[in-house]
Amino acid sequence: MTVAASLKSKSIWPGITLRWSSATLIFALFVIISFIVIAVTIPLWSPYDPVGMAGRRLQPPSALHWCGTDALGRDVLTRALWGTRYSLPIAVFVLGVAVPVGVLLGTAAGFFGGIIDNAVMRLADVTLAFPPVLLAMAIAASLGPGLVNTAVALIIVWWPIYARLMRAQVLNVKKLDHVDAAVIAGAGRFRILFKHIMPLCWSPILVNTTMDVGLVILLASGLSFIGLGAQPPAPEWGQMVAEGASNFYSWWIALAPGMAIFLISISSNFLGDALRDVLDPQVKLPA
Amino acid sequence: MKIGDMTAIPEPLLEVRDLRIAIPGRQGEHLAVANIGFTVASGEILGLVGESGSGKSLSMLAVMGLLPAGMRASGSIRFKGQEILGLPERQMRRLRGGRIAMIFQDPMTALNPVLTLGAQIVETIELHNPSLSSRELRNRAIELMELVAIPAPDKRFDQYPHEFSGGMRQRIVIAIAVANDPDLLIADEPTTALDVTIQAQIVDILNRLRREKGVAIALITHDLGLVAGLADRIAILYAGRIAECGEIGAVFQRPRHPYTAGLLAAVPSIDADVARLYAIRGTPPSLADRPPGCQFNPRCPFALPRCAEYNPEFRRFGETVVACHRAEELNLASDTADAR
Amino acid sequence: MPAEDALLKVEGVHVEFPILKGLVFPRRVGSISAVAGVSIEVAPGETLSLVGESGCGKSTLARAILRLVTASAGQVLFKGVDLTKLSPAKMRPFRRHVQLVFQNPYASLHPRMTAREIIAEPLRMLGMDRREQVERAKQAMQRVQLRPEFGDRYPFAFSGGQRQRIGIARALSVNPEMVVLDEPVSALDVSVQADVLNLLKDLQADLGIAYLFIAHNLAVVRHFSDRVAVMYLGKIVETAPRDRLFKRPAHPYTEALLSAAPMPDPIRERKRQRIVLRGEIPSPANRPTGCCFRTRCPKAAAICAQIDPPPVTLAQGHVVNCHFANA
Ligand SMILES: Nc1ncnc2c1ncn2[C@@H]1O[C@H](COP(=O)(O)OP(=O)(O)OP(=O)(O)O)[C@@H](O)[C@H]1O
Ligand SMILES: Nc1ncnc2c1ncn2[C@@H]1O[C@H](COP(=O)(O)OP(=O)(O)OP(=O)(O)O)[C@@H](O)[C@H]1O
Ligand code: SF4
Ligand code: SF4
Ligand SMILES: [Mg+2]
Ligand SMILES: [Mg+2]
Repeated sequence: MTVAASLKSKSIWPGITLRWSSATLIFALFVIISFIVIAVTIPLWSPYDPVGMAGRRLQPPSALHWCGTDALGRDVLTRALWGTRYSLPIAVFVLGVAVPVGVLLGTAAGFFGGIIDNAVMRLADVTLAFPPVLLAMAIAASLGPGLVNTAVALIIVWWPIYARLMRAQVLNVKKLDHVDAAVIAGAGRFRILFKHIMPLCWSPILVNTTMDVGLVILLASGLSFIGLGAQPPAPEWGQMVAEGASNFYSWWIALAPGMAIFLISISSNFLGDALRDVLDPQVKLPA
Repeated sequence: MKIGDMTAIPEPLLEVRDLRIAIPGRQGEHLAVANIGFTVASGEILGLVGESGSGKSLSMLAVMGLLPAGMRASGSIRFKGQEILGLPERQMRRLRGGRIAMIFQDPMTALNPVLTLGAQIVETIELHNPSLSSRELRNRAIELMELVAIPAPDKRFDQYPHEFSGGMRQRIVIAIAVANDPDLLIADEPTTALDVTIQAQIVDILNRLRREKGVAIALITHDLGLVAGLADRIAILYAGRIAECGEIGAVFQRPRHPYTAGLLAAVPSIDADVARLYAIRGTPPSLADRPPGCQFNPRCPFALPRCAEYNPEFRRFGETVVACHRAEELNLASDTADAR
Repeated sequence: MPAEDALLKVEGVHVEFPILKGLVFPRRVGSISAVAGVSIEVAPGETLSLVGESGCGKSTLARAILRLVTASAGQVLFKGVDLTKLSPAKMRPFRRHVQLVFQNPYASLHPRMTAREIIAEPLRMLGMDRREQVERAKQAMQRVQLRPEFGDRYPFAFSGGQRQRIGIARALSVNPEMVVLDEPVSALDVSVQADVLNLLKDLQADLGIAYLFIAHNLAVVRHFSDRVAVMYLGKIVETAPRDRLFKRPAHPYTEALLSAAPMPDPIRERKRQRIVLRGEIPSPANRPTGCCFRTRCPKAAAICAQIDPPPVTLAQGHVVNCHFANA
């Protein structure tokens, strides 16, 4: 089985499969690393002031302004570059809270079962019953506009996904014989959980988290786009796309931030895929 | 000499010669099947026995033209005198399920869980007989279910796989396999997942198929008892090669290859006592790192220096063909007992 | 066998699994009686085999003995202490005395622990210091003929037979008095199987361990055991010393099993009269009334549907549950 699986992913058409997957991986890593580098260093080399006038208003792309200028005469490329300083931290913050919370609650639910399981899972079910975008909108709207509130809304939307994923994973691993073997060895509950169950639960969480980076950025931008997230004049991508939309004929205003969102989304997706392939196939759980 | 030449019965139904199957790997190809040859005549049951990974399933998949993509097969596979190795997929498909049928190793996944069993049998019949009416199809399917001893087949016709026990499902799989009166049935471990009492039912059915319909059966298994009960001839595979091939009684009574003798001595018997079982030391070679000479030499208690140098030729002794340098001098029945 | 000699005494054990319906608020709509009143005894140093078809409850019984599932009724007495009544904490000191070797040599080893860590895990739980753990793990590996240098390898680098040896080494590392072997060789090739069986026999001879050996291959059972218990649909239908069971099976099911067991001998195998059972195995969720074997029994009569046959002792240690047992 493992032999067949590895054959499928690597050697049936050795050239094609390998080249394709490594190309996407290199691309994804390149995009993500450059975005991080940009976010960290942009104050040092910013071509223009992201919030101040940089030239004439609504200029199409030119040698001076590679991506044109917006309705207030700000340089679009500069703003898009500064946008990384909003989007990346928000993704890190949202996932940095939602994943641990979800993993913790999901683990507790899966491992202890009973009342804890019921309570956690009902709460997660209720949250997941609403379409995520609508729920995020409703929460963000009720908390009031602003980046922090957007992040809070996204955390509320996101943790149940991880709670469910982790619970399912814990339940699966818990059934495996080696866990019974640990019980027979005389291991206590916590050793069983931390040594014999948890180490085999990480892979899907890691893959999912990587893939969700793009989604969080997308949704955060979406909220900003409809005015619930970052407020003007912040150079946030969703915000900028919204400005582009209100200057419909100046297509270039939305182009750079749109491309940025697109690039980061597919890169995180590619990276997640690659990670899934890399993560030890030996520990694939039986269905 | 080629092994196929020597076991040849006039006009065998299936004749495999010099079959080699290469699997692509990271450090180049390696041979999973390195010289397999045998024949099966109509109405005959050939048992293919060998350790896990010895190439039993792969060589049969090659006969079916179903090797996983990327693997390369060479040699010759003749079915009714026609070369079928490398036949275009379209022609292969006509043989498959029609003249040649296969029962796969895992009976539980061979059936579609969301289709009724009747529908699945009918589908196979229809594929090769598009002209039959639905009434005829149904009748034929019920006949088949009777053939494999499903009780009350007309009631069972509309049931789903999950409503059947493992043994019944395996019988349905057999019914599907023989739906179009194949000439050759390849059964890959048809009873491994089943209990002895259910296994006895399957053995009965396979025996009837051979007797009443003249089906030739290639029976893959590692259960020596099953082969002993069913097969006319037996081929023993080791590391992708035939070690010994011959008439069943002869091979069991006087094994000529040390590996065969080892296998026979390793099985406990239901009516005899031995203090210790004979265990073949060591493990089969990894395909990527085959030993030179006879593949069995690192584990063979009778190996001589030349065994690690030359690969033994196939040689004929009465009804059996053996690949061992010392086949004529060893008297394995007693020598193996001594080695124990 | 006198009762006071028993190391393990299982009495009237039942195990039920609920059948649940409904995704959000599951309700119990019935139950599977996987083990329905089993009593067996194992004396120190002996091998009792438990044979029966797939799904008859062998593993579940083993798991109940080891407290991996909870018995809904009955007692599991280990040296007179009822394990079913102990709290998990009180149970832990008993763990080292009763160990288990699993059926599946692939799933029963932690894929991210080295062979040495796996074997040392029970020792570590006894609070042994690291040096001693390593030393004892090394001894255990030598005992099962695994090269101690392999200790740093992960399970995927071992063959099936080697993995099973790791499992055996793990069970033996704490010097248990009893080991439950749940089909330890079913997943292995014949040649490897012989090797592992020999090893287990040698270990028993050296260390005086008692085995509860679960299997479905009767030839292996005959080779390996002192006494045999035949299980069908969650019940023990016949128990006898090995030779007697194989020579004079009294229960119709035992007879059928023996007659169906394949023999690696073409001449005798062909001459043999097989009893081919008709009918299907009933589901443990829906047990037949009276005798559990009656739906497939060639001897079944009216009384079999009404009265569950009580145990009858035919000879010293030979007990059978059948109204029409062969005398
Ligand atoms: N899809 C595959 N990709 C790569 N290697 C394979 C594949 N299928 C089989 N092999 C290798 O080819 C060899 C022969 O495999 P095969 O399945 O024919 O063995 P087998 O004799 O049927 O064994 P078993 O008794 O376990 O079914 C093995 O070493 C196996 O690892
Ligand atoms: N956790 C479980 N939940 C529900 N039913 C179970 C569970 N474990 C086992 N069963 C059922 O209990 C019955 C006995 O199963 P068990 O695994 O003990 O059989 P077995 O005799 O060990 O079979 P095998 O030879 O296939 O290992 C089966 O019908 C099985 O479906
Ligand atoms: S050729 Fe040599 S090594 Fe091979 S089986 Fe014969 S005696 Fe053994
Ligand atoms: S009690 Fe009746 S049904 Fe049960 S085994 Fe005996 S004869 Fe058969
Ligand atoms: Mg196979
Ligand atoms: Mg079991």
